[in-house]
Amino acid sequence: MRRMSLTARLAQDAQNTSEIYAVLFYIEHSSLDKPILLSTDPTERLQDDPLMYCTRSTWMDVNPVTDPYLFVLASATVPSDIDDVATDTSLVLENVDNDIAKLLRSFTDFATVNIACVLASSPDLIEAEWHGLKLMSAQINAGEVALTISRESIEDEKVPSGLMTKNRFPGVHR
Amino acid sequence: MTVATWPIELPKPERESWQSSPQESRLKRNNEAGPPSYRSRFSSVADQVSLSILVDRNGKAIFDRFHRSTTSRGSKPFYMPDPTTDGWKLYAADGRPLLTAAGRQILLSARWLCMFGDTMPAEAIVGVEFRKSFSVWVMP
Repeated sequence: MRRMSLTARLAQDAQNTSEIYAVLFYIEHSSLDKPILLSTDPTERLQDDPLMYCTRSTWMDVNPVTDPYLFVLASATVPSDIDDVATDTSLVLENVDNDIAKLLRSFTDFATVNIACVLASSPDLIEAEWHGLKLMSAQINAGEVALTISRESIEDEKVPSGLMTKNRFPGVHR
Repeated sequence: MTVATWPIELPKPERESWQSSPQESRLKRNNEAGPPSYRSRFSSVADQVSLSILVDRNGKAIFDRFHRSTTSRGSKPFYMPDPTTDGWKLYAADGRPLLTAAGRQILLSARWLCMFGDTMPAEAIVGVEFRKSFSVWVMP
């Protein structure tokens, strides 16, 4: 069973609640200078020009003062726990800037995505988190960008695959 | 790029057309029967304020220029003094005005970061003056 805070459990059972779940994304890739930090809740105004909102959290050991999780126009689902299916999640970004598509098409290897679910009132306390997921695909159209985040597919083995040679399997070649 | 500022030449908004309401930030849980239940969806909630100003021909030109060019027909944000707070006198709880050491009345000050609202400003002629009705989103 996943451990959750008492506040979160009470909020889920309450008839009316003011607690808000926010999903934090921590995206890292070798071509990025520093990780991309995203949040789904506009907890506080970061700056006026351009207008930006952010959530400040210490998750992934970031400094909440200098590196806030920036609010994006996004809808997110947390990874599923369905049997026999790879853990899968999606993040649908509003396509508000051409640079989103430019960045997403600029690399060919997998970016690593870490996801955490927090309450907006206690952004440092992690209710659930998923580490080391890979950014598998990005469907881009004029209105929105749908990112699919999952584990690396087991069918995508590197070629040539391992051969049953004496070096690798000494017990077979006795 | 700097954020535009509401022209100080324009008058305060009229009292009778003033209306302010917060943005819907709740998610309603669909109950089959019984009273509804809600939860919040996001933290920062904007306010929609409808207001109107009564201006002469010069004021109309100032407003039109501000809307058309300064805010690019309402697509850019701007700062506006909060008409319900800015310039109001500060009183103590017993109704005495609060004064500075020099005996001056202390005035409240507040500034909104606004965007023009969902409908474009409407104009009507009242006698020899113009009534500009518009709405703004007050950013949280």
